[in-house]
Amino acid sequence: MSDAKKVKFSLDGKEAESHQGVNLVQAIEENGTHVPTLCWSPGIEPCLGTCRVCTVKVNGRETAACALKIEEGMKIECDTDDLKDLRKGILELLFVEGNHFCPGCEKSGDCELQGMGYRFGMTHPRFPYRFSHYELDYRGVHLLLERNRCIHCKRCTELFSDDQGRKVFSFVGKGKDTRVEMNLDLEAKMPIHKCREAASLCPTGAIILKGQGFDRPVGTRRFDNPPDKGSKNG
Amino acid sequence: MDRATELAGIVQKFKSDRTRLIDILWAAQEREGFVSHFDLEELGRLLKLSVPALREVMSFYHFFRDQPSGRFQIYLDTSMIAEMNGLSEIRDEFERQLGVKVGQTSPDGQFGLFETSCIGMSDQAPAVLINLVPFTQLNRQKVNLIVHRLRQGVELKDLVHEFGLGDAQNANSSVHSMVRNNLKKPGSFMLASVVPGAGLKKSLAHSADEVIDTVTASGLRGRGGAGFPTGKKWAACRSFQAPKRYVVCNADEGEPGTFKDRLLLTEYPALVIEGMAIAAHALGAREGIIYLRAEYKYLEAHLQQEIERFRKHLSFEFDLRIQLGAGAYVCGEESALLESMEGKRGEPRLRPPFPVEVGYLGMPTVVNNVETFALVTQIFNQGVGTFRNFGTPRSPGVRLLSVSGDVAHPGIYEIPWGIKIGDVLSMVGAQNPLMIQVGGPSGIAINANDVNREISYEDLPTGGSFMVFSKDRDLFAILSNFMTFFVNESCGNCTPCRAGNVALRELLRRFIGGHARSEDLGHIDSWASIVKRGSRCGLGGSSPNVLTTVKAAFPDLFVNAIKPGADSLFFDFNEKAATADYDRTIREMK
Ligand SMILES: Cc1cc2nc3c(=O)[nH]c(=O)nc-3n(C[C@H](O)[C@H](O)[C@H](O)COP(=O)(O)O)c2cc1C
Ligand code: SF4
Ligand code: SF4
Ligand code: FES
Repeated sequence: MSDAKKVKFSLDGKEAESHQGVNLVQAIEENGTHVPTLCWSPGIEPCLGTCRVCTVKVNGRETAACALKIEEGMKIECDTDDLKDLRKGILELLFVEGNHFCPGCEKSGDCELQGMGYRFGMTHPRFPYRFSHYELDYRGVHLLLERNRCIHCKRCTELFSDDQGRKVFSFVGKGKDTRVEMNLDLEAKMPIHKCREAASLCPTGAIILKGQGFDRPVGTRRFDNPPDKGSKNG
Repeated sequence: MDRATELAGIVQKFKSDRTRLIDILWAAQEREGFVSHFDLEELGRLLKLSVPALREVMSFYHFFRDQPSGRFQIYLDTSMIAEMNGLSEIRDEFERQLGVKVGQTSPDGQFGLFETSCIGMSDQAPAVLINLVPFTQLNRQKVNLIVHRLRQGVELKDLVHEFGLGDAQNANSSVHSMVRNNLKKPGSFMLASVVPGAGLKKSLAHSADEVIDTVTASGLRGRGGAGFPTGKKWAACRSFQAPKRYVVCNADEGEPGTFKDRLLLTEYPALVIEGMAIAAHALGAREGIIYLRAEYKYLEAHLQQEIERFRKHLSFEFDLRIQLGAGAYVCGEESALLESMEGKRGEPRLRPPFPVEVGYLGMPTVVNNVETFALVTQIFNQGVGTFRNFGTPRSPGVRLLSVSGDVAHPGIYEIPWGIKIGDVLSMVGAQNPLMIQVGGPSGIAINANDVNREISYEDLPTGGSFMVFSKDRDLFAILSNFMTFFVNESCGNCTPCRAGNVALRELLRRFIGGHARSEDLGHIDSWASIVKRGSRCGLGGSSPNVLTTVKAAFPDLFVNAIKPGADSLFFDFNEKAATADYDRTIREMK
C-alpha cells in the first residue's frame, strides 16, 4: 500500500490518514479505533455487507464501513455513544433471532459472535427472544449444520466452494424464513481440509466438524482474552 | 412431448442464458403449476447450475412453487384495505368451499389457496388472483360462484366474462379483465391526449445533452417514491463510458395502496413506451426493459401489443422487452430489481456503485418509474413551462394519486404537488377520517385533522399511495397489518431489517395484548431507529416509520394501551386468561 496515494479524512473530529483504496474498516483501525465486523474480515472480497455491525457514519449518514473504500475528505464518525449503541443493538438482534446457547456450543471461545458480545459488554439483549424453530442438519458425513447458530452472513454461500469450484452452501426462502442448506452430495466428497475451511469460515458455530470440539482448555481459545488495552471497544 | 424435451426447448428459447432464470422458471411452471425436483435437475443440467442454486433463486419469490399447488392457484390479497373490505369473509368462504386452509392444496389437486401482499387493487378490494387473473370486489356469493364454476370446468376466461369485463381497455381482448380503471380525476396534464410519437419526434430534433437539459429544467423528480431528480440521474448515467446502456421501467408497483401504474399501463402504455424511447435517445441506449410485477401479468399481452404498435415511431434501434417478476415487494427497489432481472434472488445491492454506473449486466442503467416516463413524454409534448405551471418550486408538476380506504370515491386522481390534505379529503369524499397513510406503509401516517399539510417533497412526499382510515378503524389492526407486510417482504439480507422488523412487531403486540410497560413507549422510537439507520436498503430504512409516525400523530394510542399496574413484576401473567381456552383446546385435540 505504500505506493498508493495518501488520503486525509476526519475520524470522530480528529484528523486521520490512510491510503487510497483502503477499506474503511482498515482505514479506521489504522488510526486506532476499532470497528467490529462479522460478515467481513480482512481479505473477504467481495464484501457481503449483510450483518451491519460495522455501521459508522460517513458524511452524516449511517452506512456499513466494510462496503466502502476510504476517500479524501470523508467525515467519519465511529466511536460515539450513539453509534456504539446502534451497533450493539444490531448484535443483540442476531442473538435473539437465533438460538445461541454458548456454554454448550463447540465454537464457544472461538466464535466471532460470542467474542463480540463480550467485547460490547452485552449482558442481555433489549429485544425479546424469539425462540424460532430451526432444523438441525446432521446428515453430512463430516459437517454438522446447526442452523440455530446461523447469522445469515452469507460467507458460506457466497465465498465457499469445493475443490472443483462448486457451490456447496446455499440459502432457501426469504426474509426471516431464510435458511442455509448444504449440498450433501458435494459435502460427502469433500476432503477434510475443505471441511475444516468451511467450519472456520463460518463466524459462529453453525458449520461444525463432526466428532470434534471442546478440545482446547478455556483460556487458550481465540476470544478468551480481552482485546488489547490499546484498541477501544466498538 | 416428454418433459425433458419440453424443458430443453424452454432453455433453448432463452439461449441457455442463466440471467433469464425468472423467465425460464415461469415457463417451466406453466404446464403443471409447479416446478418439480425432476424439472430442477433437468434445468440445472442444461444451465450448468446445481439444484440448490436454482432453489436459492426460486424460493425467494411468492409465485414460484416447488410442490403441486393446484390447477387453480388462488392468491388472496392480504393488504389492509382488503382486510377492511371483507378479506376474512372471502378467506373463510374459499376455505369452506374448497375444504382447505390457506397454504394448502385440495386433495384432488384442483385448488391451492394462498396469501400474498397487496396486488394493486385497493380501489376494488377485496380481490384475489387466480392463476394471476384478478377477480375483484368479491364477497361470499361471488366466491361461491367462482368455485362452483371452476368445478364445472368453466375456463377462467369465460368466468371473467360472466363476472363482467371492466371499462375501456380492460374490456379489450388483449387485456380481458374485470378490473376497473376508476380514474376519478383525469387532470389536464399527464393524461392529456397527444399524438403518439410526437414527443419523441420533438426530442429527436435535439441532441442527447439538450434532451437531458430539458428534463433537468423541468425539475421532474422520480415518481417511484424517492423523488430523485430525473435529469440528474440521466446525466449521471450518460457520464459513464460503456459499450451499452440500458433503460429500465420499474413497473413493480408493490407499495400497498398504490395502483396508478396499473392505469397507465392499461390506458396509456404508449406514453410510457415513448418516455422510455426518449430516455434511450438521451442515453444512447439501444435496449429497454419493462419490469412488470407478476400481479399485473394480465397486462402483459396488452403491453407487448402496444410495444409492437409503437415500433413505427422509432427511427433508431431500440429493443424493448417485458420482464415479468414473480412476487416480491423488495424487487421494486431498483438494485433488487436489477438482480431479479439478472435471474437472481431479488436482494438489494451494496451501493456505491449505483445503477447509473453499474446496472443491468454491469452496464450503466437508468431505472425510472412508469409515471416518470409518462411525464417525460408529456413534458416534451406540452413543454417545460406548462409542466412547471403546476406544483411547487421544489415539487414541480403533477402526479397521480391512488386513493383507497374509507372514501366515497376510491380511485386515481391527477393532482398538482402542493395540494392541501383537506382539499384531497373533500375531493375523494373521505368518510369521518381519523388517519391518513401518505405514501403507503413505507410513508408517513398523519392525523386527518392536519388539513393544512400538503402533498409535496417539502412536506409529505408520496409514491402515490393515499389510504384513508375512518374513526371506526382500529389503528392497532392497521399497524399490525403493515408490520406483518414488512416482516413478510423483508428480503432477509441484512440483520436490522430481517430481525428488527420481527422485534418491532413483537413490541407492537405487547401494546395490542396489554403487556406493554411504560418503558416500551421509548422502545418504539429507539428500536425503530436501529432498524432505520442500520438497514441496507429503503425497505428497512422506512418500515419503522409506520410505528413512529402513528405514535407521533396519535400519542395517546400507545399511552392508553399501557395497563395500570403494568410495571409490577409478574403483571402479565393472568392465570384465568391463560387457561381460559383449556377445555376447548383439549376438545379440539381429541
Ligand atoms: C422496498 C422498495 C420498494 C420500491 N418499490 C418501487 C416500485 O414498486 N416502483 C417504483 O417505481 N419504485 C420503487 N421503489 C423505488 C426505486 O428504488 C427507485 O427509486 C425508482 O424506481 C426510481 O425511479 P424514479 O426515479 O422514476 O422514481 C422502491 C424502493 C424500495 C426501497
Ligand atoms: S452457516 Fe455460518 S457462514 Fe453460513 S450464513 Fe450461517 S453463519 Fe454465515
Ligand atoms: S433492508 Fe430489508 S429488504 Fe433491504 S436489504 Fe436489508 S433485509 Fe433486504
Ligand atoms: S462487517 Fe460490515 S456489514 Fe458485516
